[in-house]
Amino acid sequence: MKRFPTILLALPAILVTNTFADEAGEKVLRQLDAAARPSATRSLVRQTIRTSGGAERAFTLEICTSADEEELLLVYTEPARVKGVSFLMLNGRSDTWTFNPKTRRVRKLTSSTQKRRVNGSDFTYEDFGDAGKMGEDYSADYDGEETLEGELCDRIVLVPKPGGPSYSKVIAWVGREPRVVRRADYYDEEGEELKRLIATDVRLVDGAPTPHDLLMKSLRGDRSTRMQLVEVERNLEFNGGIFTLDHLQGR
Amino acid sequence: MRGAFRLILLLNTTSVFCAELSGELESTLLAFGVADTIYWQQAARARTYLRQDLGGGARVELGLDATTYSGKTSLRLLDLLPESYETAIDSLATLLFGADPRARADPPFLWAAADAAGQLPSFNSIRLDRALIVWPGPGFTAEVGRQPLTWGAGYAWNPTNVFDRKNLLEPTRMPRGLDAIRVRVGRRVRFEGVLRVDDRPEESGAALRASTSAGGWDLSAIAARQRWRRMDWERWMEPEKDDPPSVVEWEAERPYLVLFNEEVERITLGGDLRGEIRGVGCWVEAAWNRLDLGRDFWDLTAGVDHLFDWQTYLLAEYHLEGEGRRDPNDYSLNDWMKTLTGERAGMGRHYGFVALNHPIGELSELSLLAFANLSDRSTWLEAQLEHSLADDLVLAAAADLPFGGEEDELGRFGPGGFLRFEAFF
Repeated sequence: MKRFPTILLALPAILVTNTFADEAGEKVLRQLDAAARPSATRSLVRQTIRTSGGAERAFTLEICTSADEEELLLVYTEPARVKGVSFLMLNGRSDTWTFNPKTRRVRKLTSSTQKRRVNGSDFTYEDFGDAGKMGEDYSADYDGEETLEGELCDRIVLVPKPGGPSYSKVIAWVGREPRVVRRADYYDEEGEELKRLIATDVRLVDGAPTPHDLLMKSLRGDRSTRMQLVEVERNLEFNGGIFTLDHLQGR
Repeated sequence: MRGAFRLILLLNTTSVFCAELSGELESTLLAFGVADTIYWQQAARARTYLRQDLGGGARVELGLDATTYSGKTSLRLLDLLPESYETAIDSLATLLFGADPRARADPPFLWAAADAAGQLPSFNSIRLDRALIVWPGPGFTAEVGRQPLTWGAGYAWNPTNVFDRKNLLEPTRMPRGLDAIRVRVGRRVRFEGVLRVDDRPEESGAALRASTSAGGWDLSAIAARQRWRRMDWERWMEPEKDDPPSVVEWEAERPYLVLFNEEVERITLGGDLRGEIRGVGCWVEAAWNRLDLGRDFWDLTAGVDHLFDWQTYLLAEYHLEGEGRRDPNDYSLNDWMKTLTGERAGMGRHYGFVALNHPIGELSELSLLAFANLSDRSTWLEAQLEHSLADDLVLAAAADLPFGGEEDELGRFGPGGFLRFEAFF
């Protein structure tokens, strides 16, 4: 079961009663997958949570993905309070294990727990999904075109296939050149608006369009989480099996 | 950009000769009730960890844990026992100490046992908590030295965690370091071999554990053997069974070992299974313990967890304590003392644990915990609030409310709570 595209190319999911995808929507989805160009990648990300009270909390994360992006390892490197907290996604990112350095325990997350907000942010575990394989998880309906920040985008509605993510639907605005999600609105299981992702500062990294600034804004309160890509390396070769439970446990 | 990121890292970790230093300072104001009295205690705890990569994936880890206490640090252990045992304890104290009123009032063998078990947190201490060398060899990883040994799918109880025991009231606290040699091999099926090193070679324990994932489930099996030091707190009551204890026999630092010690060979066979059914996480963990002295027993833990759409997390767990008593009327001095000193997880046969956790805003979390001895129906309730004051500063506050009768496991305690600051660096 695939989840969402990598947070860096993020695009959320949908679960609505409309299960009939149209050709135009599927075409946009295929183009989005093709543009993602999966590769073994290491990213350093600065995450800033802005609370409804105006306070800010900053985190730094290292995210590694395997060559086919089926596997992901995320490690918090800052602040000291969460340093070493890690999670590993395997099997097309459908199975997630967390590692707590304090208790030295590896624990598997259930599908319900993957809906949990990670460290108080507006991102959930399931938001750290699989890039480049959206078509395996979602059906897409074309919903017209719209100009966002001066860029013409195709608007598609993504409908999760059975066993997909927990959102009821996601509306995504996909830029045409390059093909990358510029904005995504997430809806909860009751069909209510939940949060909005805005992707900016898109740069080509080894040919893959990569947003370097992702802002997830809650639509139910004045809070947000920004993830800024500080560093990214693609086409790496990870030695020593870092995408294994043994590696997670031995960190 | 890359340089900028590294600068950020340097600002938040201290480099000592390229080693990485981190740690935690903790200051706790604790109130705890025993019988009808509430006591106060303040504790300061500092943990520091040094980690140095040695190249080729090898590394060394050092950790120190220092704690000091002030306030009420001299609780009488007799206060934790029902009054009905005072006569028995007094008889033993008289036998050992004659008419010494101080020793009779607070017999030192009880203290020694509690100290060794680390159950009463009233002794200032500095201990080496980690002294570990990790070496990833070809196809295996060796971990040699002082390290935590933690196993099991259970949250509050872990029957397969044969070398250590969780603190029931704070199961997420950092486990203590134990001297051991551990070798891990395999990827799809992972094997761990552990040699737990004790004072004497014949007391060292060993364990072999295999774990894997299949069909969305994690499962493991463990076999372990160890020499287990157990206390028989009632042996002195049966002089025909053994010579009555004598002061002459005392080992200066650990008299209770001579007086009540039993050396038992314990063989444990167990395993655990964790997965989910219809979105509900579920797990079961069990261990069969074969003893060469005394009755063999089973321990079992089973639990479920679920995150609701509104971000409330629920965890519930049941525990069968194989050596526990079904009927609270059967509680004995041995049951009380083994539980107070941490040799056993509890006196009753059946236990339950429920935890509810819910985020309050973005910086706080509220937890409600209930821990119950289902055999005598005594219960411990706790409400805990954790709030992030800054990136690396957390304030936690808790209020406890036990329920139960005078002779019940948790009924001797009164209301309490704590206020704790935790700073990380």
